[in-house]
Amino acid sequence: MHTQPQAHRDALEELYVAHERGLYNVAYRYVWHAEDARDVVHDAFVRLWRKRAALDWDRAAGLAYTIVLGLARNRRRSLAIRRAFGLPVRDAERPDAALAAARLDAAVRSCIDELPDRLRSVLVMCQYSGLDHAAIAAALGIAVGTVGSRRSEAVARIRARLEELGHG
Amino acid sequence: MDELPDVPALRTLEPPAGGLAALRDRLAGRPSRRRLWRWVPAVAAAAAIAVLVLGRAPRRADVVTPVVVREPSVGVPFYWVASTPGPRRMPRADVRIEDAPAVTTIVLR
Repeated sequence: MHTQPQAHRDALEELYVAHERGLYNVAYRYVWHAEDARDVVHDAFVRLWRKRAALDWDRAAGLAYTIVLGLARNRRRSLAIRRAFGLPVRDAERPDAALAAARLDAAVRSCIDELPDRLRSVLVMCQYSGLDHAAIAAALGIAVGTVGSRRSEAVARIRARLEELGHG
Repeated sequence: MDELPDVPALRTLEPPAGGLAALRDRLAGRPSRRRLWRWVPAVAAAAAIAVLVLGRAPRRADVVTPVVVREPSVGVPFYWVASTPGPRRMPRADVRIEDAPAVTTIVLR
């Protein structure tokens, strides 16, 4: 039971420590920038903190992922608008040019960017959240069986696109 | 076939160090300097919009109190009443008085 302010703070920090990496990696696959991704995660935790009185801490992890996905989509849209109007944005971090697989890495990024959000969100949640399919389905508001099928579809699309790009 | 290639773009990344401390700062109401800079374009845009809106707002009309001037040469209840309709300046015109001395209408032409 978390009823005291300090207990809420402890629960929030426990949640952050347990899921920081997963949430960060999910956000990163939308914004492709370390600081932007961390800002998205922190914004999500500020929102959770505002909801703390009504929060079920046992289910807070799924809600954190839901909020992070929503904020990451918004951030991605705002970055696209800023680019369209020629406003300054932080460039997406480029893969390490010293790596032999740099071109393949860049191609995979572009494949992920081209995925529709219904596939992209499932893919990144499966790859990085550490949640099981039931929890992912709950966080995304979809059926459990859909998680697996959408992940497979996302992977198939990426592989097909990579073959088109000459990385088959 | 159901696996993705092992490339950096897909590998799990470590978040930047100091995340929990930065989150504590956020929750304590201490926004980072970088976040404060985000407000600069918004404030500038709001100021520009305010200037445009205020610049286009109609100026308050000059209120002219009607002046009542008694005209004893026409009749006991007759008064000249002068006024201007709102902020618009009326052009000069001939004044014709109908049915004097029982005046009911003044026509500006």
